Amino acid sequence: MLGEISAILPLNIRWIIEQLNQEIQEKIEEIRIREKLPLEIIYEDQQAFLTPRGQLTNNIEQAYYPTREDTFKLMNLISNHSIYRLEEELKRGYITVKGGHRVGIAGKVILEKGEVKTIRDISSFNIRIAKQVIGSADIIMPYIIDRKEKSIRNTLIISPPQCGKTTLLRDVARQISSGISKYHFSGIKVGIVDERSEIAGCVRGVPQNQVGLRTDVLDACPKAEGMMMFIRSMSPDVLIVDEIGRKEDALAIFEARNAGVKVIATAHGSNVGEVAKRPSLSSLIQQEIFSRYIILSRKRGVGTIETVLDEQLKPVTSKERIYA
Amino acid sequence: MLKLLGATLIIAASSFGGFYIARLYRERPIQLRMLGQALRILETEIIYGSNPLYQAMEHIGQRVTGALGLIFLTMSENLLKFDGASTFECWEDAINQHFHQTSLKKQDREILINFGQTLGISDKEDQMKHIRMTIQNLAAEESLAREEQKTYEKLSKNLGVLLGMLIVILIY
Repeated sequence: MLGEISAILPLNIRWIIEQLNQEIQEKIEEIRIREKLPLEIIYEDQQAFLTPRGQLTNNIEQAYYPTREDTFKLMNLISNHSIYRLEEELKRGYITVKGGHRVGIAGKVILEKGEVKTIRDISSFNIRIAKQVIGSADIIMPYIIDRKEKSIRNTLIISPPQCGKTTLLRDVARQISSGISKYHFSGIKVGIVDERSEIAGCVRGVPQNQVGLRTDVLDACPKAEGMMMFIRSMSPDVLIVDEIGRKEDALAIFEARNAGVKVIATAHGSNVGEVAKRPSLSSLIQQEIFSRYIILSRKRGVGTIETVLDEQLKPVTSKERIYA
Repeated sequence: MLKLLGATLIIAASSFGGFYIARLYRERPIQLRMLGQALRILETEIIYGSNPLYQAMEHIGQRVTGALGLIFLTMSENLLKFDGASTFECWEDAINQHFHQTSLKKQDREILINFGQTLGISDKEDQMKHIRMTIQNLAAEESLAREEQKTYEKLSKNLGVLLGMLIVILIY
């Protein structure tokens, strides 16, 4: 997994990271490279600086300070020596690299007519390592699949940040698109509107993460517009969107229902009440658009399933759970 | 008899030297023009084609002949092969490998090296500016090179032959 990351790191930083013991290497979530500031990694919610010999430290005097040459080379490597191809990415402030990993960037912003045109003199990088967990959605699939109708249910996954919402959604997409032999469920057409390029992690339009065999992805597309585009032209069976919240999103979901397209979406929040308070989403809940609400937390680690509710917000009976 | 052979050899060597220098004068403006054309291809590849640099370099290498083409082909290979190297390091290496095979001069090399420092590291608009500027610099060198060619090409040839003759006369 670090192989793809290594390929974009300048040799000296690569060497430092490779000196870390295997266990920590596996757990790295972010590598933060800032010009003339200590080299930092984030792993398991902890942060640490790295020394030039590749040891963890909290002492900033011992840390390695990336030079201008390092950041320059890093940019060369991230862009495959062709920054001119990344105009859209520079506008958005992040670049997706091979393997679906995202590199957030900061530097001098150039404006044109009040809008961000590009970022120059890039001096800060946040390399976020994408972790796809194949099978992370196994436990919720019985709730999503409607065995009688041989289809799936409209589902809203509710979760506070950092609880593995996107990871879960990605695996849901993979499973319903490729089919699940355990439930005799053959795959159906999935359309992912991937506004932040996090679900599929596309590079040049090609998904880097496993999102299923019958999946189409609209990369970096605003959610509401993307859903409408899919409904109009790609005849999906299911639409998958991350982090709905605006009024247009809700309208697009109503439209999807009218077109007979199922929706699986996620929303920020720690319970249904919190989501229902948001005016843009409350109508969706009142009109019982979603048949299942899956609420996540971090109680027993990332991706703990707190409760599953049905359209009337009652806990789902254990009958469904038996299938799992 | 032996003396005659020696004399012939001296004149031949000296003439060859003269012709070689004349060839450099003749080829330099041609190669400078080719280089300008190569950069125009690069501009198209970057601005309209949006092709990755290694591909752009390969395309140029296929269309430009001789040692100049080799610079671009080597650059393309370097970009793919060199692990963890900056764009400029790849370019510098390609120049070091093949520049001496061309008829270009030191100042032309300077232009190319300077150009390499901007290659691929900015947005399209900026890339276009740098490419255009380099093309103009090369064009300026080209017109100077043509002047030089007029003055020195024939002169070098004649001088080579005459120098050989002079040495032979002095030795006799």
